[in-house]
Amino acid sequence: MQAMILVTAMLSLSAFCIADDSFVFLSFSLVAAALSGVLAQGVRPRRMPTIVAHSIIASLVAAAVVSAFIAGRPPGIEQVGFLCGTALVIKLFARHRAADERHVLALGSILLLVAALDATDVLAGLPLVIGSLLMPVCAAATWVQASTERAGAAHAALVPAGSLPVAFEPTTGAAPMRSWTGFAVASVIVTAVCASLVFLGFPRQGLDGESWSRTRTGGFSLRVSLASDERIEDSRTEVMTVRWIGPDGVAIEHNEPLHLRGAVFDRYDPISQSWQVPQQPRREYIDGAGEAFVPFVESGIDARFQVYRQVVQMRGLATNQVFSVLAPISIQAAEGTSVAFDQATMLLSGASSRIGEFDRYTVAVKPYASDRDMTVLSGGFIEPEAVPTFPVAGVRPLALDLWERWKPRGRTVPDVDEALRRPAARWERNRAVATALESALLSGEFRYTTDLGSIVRRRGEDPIVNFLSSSRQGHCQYFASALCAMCQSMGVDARVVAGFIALEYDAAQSQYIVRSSNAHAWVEVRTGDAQWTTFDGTPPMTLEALQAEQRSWADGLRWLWDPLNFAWTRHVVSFDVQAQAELVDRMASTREALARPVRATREAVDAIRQRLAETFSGLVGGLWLASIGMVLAASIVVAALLRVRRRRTEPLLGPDASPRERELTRHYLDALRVAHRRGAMRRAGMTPLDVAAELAQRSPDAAAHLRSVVESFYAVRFGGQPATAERCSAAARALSALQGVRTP
Amino acid sequence: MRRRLSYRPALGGLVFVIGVLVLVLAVVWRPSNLLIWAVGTGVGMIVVSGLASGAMMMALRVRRLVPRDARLGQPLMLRYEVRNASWFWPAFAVSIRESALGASQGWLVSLGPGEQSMVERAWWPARRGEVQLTDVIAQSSFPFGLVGKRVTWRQRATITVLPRVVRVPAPRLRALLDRGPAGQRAASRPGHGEEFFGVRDAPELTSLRDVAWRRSASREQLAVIERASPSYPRLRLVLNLSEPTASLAGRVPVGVDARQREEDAITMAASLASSAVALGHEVSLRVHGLPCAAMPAAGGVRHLDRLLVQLAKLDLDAPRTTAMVSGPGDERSATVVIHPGRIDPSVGGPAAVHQSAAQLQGLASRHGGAS
Repeated sequence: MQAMILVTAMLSLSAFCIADDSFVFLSFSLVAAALSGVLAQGVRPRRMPTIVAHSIIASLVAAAVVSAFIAGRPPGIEQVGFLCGTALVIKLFARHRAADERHVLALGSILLLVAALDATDVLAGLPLVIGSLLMPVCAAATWVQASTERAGAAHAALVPAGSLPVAFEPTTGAAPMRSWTGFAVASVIVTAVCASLVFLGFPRQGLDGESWSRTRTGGFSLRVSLASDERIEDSRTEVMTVRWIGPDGVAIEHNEPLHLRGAVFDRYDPISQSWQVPQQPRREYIDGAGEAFVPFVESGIDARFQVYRQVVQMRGLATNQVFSVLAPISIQAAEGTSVAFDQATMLLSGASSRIGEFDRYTVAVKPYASDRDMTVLSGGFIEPEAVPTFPVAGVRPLALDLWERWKPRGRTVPDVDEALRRPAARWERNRAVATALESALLSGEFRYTTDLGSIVRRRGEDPIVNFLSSSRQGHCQYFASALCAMCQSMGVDARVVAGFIALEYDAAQSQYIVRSSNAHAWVEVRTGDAQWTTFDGTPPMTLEALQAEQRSWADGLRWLWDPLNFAWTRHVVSFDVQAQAELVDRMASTREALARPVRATREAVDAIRQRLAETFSGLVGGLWLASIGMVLAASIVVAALLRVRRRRTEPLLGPDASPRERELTRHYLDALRVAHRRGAMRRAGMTPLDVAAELAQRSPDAAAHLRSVVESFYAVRFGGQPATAERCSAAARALSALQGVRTP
Repeated sequence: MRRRLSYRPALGGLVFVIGVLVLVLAVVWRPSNLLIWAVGTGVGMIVVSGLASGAMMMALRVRRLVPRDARLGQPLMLRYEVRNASWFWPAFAVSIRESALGASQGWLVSLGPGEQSMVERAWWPARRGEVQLTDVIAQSSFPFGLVGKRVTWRQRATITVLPRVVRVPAPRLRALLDRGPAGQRAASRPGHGEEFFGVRDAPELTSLRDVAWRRSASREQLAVIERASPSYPRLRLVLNLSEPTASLAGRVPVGVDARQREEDAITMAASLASSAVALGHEVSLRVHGLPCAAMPAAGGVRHLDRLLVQLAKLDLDAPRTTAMVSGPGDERSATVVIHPGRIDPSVGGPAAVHQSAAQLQGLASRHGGAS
């Protein structure tokens, strides 16, 4: 039981540490826990004194309180988790009594709850689920142990002074471990069933916004925020695979990285230092049709030329976003699903809030769509807004500085006034400015980094200004934000796009592998009436180098792990009200499916009854029916007699007797019955041979036959002799002779 | 045997339920599916608690085995036959106790389905007399201590708590018995003693020494003398409780409990009787002052048991009488009169040995004295 408590504690530690990405703490704590199992629970246990353990824990708590007081804010839930984890490890070394075990379990429960708040990965979820199922068993075990200790102490306290001491002897049954195992299994099953029912039936809301972002995995987020200086996702988790199929139907590697769009942001909020999504989406809803592609617009797009297909298989990321290269024109999605197509941003997403609904889909795209195609897709010409501006004033001078240095030489770029008068000039200017600023960012003056901890930022300084003026380093969101901000400050229609960039092409499988670390942000600039062109200020060589640097042997196993993670995210982490509704529908259909064979059986019975009624009507039918009834009754009587005969022999020979032994026993019983009819009644205390002796007074011959049968039976029953065929037939002959003898 | 099931809410259970409710609030505040799973686990624990504890307790059958008499100052082991009638649920951590006997309990750690076991519990009687056992109670809070469940069986029985007995050293006892006209006497049955019992026909002569010559001569037929069986010395115990406790309280020294003195007197009587019977003496008992039948002199363990039960049943709260208990006189026995307080020489006759309850400790020691 102590081993099970240790395992549960280790599962709690694992769940918390993995959920919190604290792998160093995980390593130390697991090693310490295993060590405690060897030291404190071994043959010669060496345990830490309780006072020492409690002193250390009290010191840790005091230190946490003091540091929280100095910091001026209460400790976060992670700090509580670390504190509990450390206390748990210390208590593992100081397990003396049942109370210590209960402390370990209580701390483990807190760790599980903290893990439940943040765990989205299956690696954290599985230990959490297993630990939570083992927790009741461990709690029950410690309860038994603690209450037994209490009973012993109470017993010792009750002994009067000077009286004879009586040892406290708890009673156990014959097989306590078997009983306990049975209880433990039943307890786990009942707990799992209850937890599943609560999990399925708990009232939920749809997962969106903040809730959704908590369930995310895979680096992609519906927010682009520069407020945090945390390290961005660099996990090698496979998010999806993308097969890029050319116009000739062959899977190929595209001539440039695929920018798989997932979200678009067009306004910057300097307060929250994050980009905001467009406020007026224009959504069209398209229902999936199974194998067939469903176009987003009825007509107007020439789907014969330059149409590529991207086949997406989601692996580690469950989301309701549909990732696609610009510009999608049709989609092949499962029947019953519904896709929302935003004409303003050309973004695709699941129409419901059901996370992970689109685990496999194919989108037909025209990466080189004409302005006409884009106009059709957008639902017509979109009137451009007035000259865009950027809300942070410090960006424009920096943008102008870069523009002056990187503007095209030898050709004239329309100015803002001309751009306002003439749309074509506006698009031309947009392209020129964006190209120049992109070149500036790619020039090498700006460095790509995922670790923002070393960047010094003055209080109140906007992160984009900081990036452009002083730090000049950041990750893709900084590059994209800076490019978009500079473009907007110079009156260029630009927007930030978030999604994934597909860099890693697996030639053997003819598909791109998109990983969590491939989450990316870039910029789209309006270069036509409905045309948007991608500009990426992040140095691509850096991204590829980073990708190559992060490769490891474990990537080869991710195909195994990542689908499991995807299923976990889809079915557990993102289980929401839509999924509940689907479940109810599925249960209703299952009930219907189960009712169908019952109905069919009932109909078949009705048909047979009808047929029988037709067949057995009239005199002949009655005779048939009576004959069948008699046969049936006779069969039942015979079966009952056989059953009675079999049951007669069981008390004498047991259920494992051979057929011959049964036959011999029947002869023996029959012989005694015949003797009874002949007047030799077997009274209490009489042996069968006594009966034979009494019968001998009436008929010596009959007594001899009876004795013969009885001795045959004795030889088998008590003498260990086999019930041979000869013996059986001899007994049968003696029995028939006994039946034939006439007594006076 | 009537069974009754009752529930006893526990503080731990209340805290646990509140904790689960807090978890529910946490889920509402910050939706997380794994937190919902944690809530479900909590609900599962409550269900397991109800199922395990309820099914377990409903399937238990407890039967008290009729206890023998208890003795004051010594533990009595009460035994219970516990059977788990369930086909599936084992029973764990069940305490078994008596409603009439305080906090002492028997402890059953585990009992598998269909199993039967014997649970023992020790009980230290606090006072002499009869104890009425009414209910056997099985109680458990297994598996998590959320709700206590208690099953009560109505099983009436009576235990007689015999008075405390201290060992009286044999020399000390002999010193008491040798006083007065106690001694050897002939029993009214033939045996191998020295006393004459009678004559009988002697078909075969065994010893010339036994021949009753005169009778043989007169009958012209050989007769032999038959000897009487030797009899053990007799001890006549007289317990003088004629003085009420309240009256006695004024006579005992300050700081001494009069009721305790009376109990000491009973203890002394029981101790003398036990020690005398152990030495083979016959003991009779008379109690003055309380309604108690006089017990004739007899020896043996059964007689001693009866005598001790008689002493155990003495109700010191009953009204006292001053009339002396009349019983068959026996001049050939040592008489010991035991007084709770001051010695009254008028009781027990002139040859009686008088003992005060205050002398109990001295009587138990080897060098104690008697008045």
